[in-house]
Amino acid sequence: MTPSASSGSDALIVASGLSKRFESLIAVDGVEFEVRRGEVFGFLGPNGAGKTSTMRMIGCTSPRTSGELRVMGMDPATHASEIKARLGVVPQADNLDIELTVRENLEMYARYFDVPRDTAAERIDELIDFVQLRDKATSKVDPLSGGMKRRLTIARALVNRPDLILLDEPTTGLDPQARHLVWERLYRLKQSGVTLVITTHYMDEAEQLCDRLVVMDKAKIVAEGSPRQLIERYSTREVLELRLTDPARKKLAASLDGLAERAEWLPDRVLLYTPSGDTALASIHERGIETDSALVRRATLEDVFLTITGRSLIE
Amino acid sequence: MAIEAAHASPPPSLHRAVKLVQRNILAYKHYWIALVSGFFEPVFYLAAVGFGVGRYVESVPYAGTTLDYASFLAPGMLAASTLNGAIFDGFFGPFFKLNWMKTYDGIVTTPMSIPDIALGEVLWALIRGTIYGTGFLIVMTALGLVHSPWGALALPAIMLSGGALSAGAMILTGVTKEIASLEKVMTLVVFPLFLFSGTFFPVSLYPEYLRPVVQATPLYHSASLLRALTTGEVGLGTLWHVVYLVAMLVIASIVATRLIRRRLIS
Repeated sequence: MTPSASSGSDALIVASGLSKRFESLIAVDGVEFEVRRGEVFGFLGPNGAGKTSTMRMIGCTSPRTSGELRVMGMDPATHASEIKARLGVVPQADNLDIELTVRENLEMYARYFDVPRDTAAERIDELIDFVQLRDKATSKVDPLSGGMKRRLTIARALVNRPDLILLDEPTTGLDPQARHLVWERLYRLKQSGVTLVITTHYMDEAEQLCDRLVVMDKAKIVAEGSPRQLIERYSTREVLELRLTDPARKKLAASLDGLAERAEWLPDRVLLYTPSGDTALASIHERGIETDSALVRRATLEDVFLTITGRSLIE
Repeated sequence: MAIEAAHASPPPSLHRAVKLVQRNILAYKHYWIALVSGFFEPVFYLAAVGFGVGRYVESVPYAGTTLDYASFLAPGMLAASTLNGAIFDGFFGPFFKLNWMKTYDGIVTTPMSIPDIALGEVLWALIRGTIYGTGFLIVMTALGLVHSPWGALALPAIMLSGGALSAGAMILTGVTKEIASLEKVMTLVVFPLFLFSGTFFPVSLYPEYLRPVVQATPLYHSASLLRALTTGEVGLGTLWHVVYLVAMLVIASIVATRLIRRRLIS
């Protein structure tokens, strides 16, 4: 995790000892990470973990309190406009220009970025198609659905052909169908080689999109790696999820030996971490413990988070 | 803390500020009626008060002589028309963009800086104030209420007044958050300013101790400057109004930019 080791020209963002303090609150506490060109890098953590504050420092809209931060080799404290010229930002809350139409939103942002008019017109056409808003191009922004607004915000973030795109909770508040459409577009961006930085508290989002991620909790980075590495390091391959009556719960607690590597006792269910869920379930039944329901699933980043912090991602 | 201080932003760029003016022009294509309506308010006042009530007012003492009431009131309303433009686009517009529509939160993620945005809004408000003022000046000329060739300088004076008042209005944007404060500001700041700044009646009517208060307000200087130009009663004192308005434009722009920065960058 030492940034100096590999921070060649391939590192688009390098942070070390990066901190953000708001009066009495420490939002980000000495974090260290590096984002390389062409990768999808994620910040996974619950609300209030410091993800958005970190993103805003990268995006030059929040000055850091201490530590080092370089974005594309430049310091946000002194080169904000130059950095922002090469960034695309998809903020957590939509801030589209609601006094303008879909197309005008893109036109204005192209102007803010000094994109020449001819280039802009062509690019905006492509982007409107890319985010599938062709038949809404002349509509005002307000009547659009949440998913459409998100897609427009993504198109807006692409209008300057950025080297780096920052996406803060890109699918929060969307229905499943709209989320999948956004994921699919982001996946296509990933394949085209754009560097993406994503914050999310959805473990499936992080797993599907991120090449590498850091897990944040209480203003600090608590783990780092690829989704696969993190699951291997902090969890077993499979998880057995059980729902039990209180007596069965007590009985299981008394005879847990040899059943699983680790157990999480959540209020509504018990999670048993084991290389084979089926084997574990069979031996539970052999020991005469009745289960209301049993589900064997593969381990996810949610389990990683639970193991590290003892809490769920979504509370 | 040293790093936060280093974020002290560079001066605004006119090139970038103009983009915000373009944005507002684009937005107003959808609301052009709102744009036109602001012009009529001072015209209505001139008609109702100047020519209605004014018929019962014989004359107003002014610059050692007297003036018919409509000729006294008209430059006051001309100043008020620049105030209208300033309030609409230096206060209402930015208030909603800052607090409700979060327009600026999006724009600051582009190379546009907060000083760029602030300058852009002041420029736009100045343009709108100038449009209103010019329209009103044409009405005044047609009604024979411009009595001197100095009146030609009323146009740049309108622009100066529009700029200074807009920058002042942007300060209001920086200090208000809730919709209720719009009403408070209108009732307690803008409306008294409109009524009591030597717009409807001369400052000499006030008791001695109140005069300095009135003479400290920006609309007093704007109205006095325009009245001097349309009546031709220009003197060295006229220059003082210009100095006041230029100083207000500069200082209020800096203060407003700082206040708005505090709301956008944290």
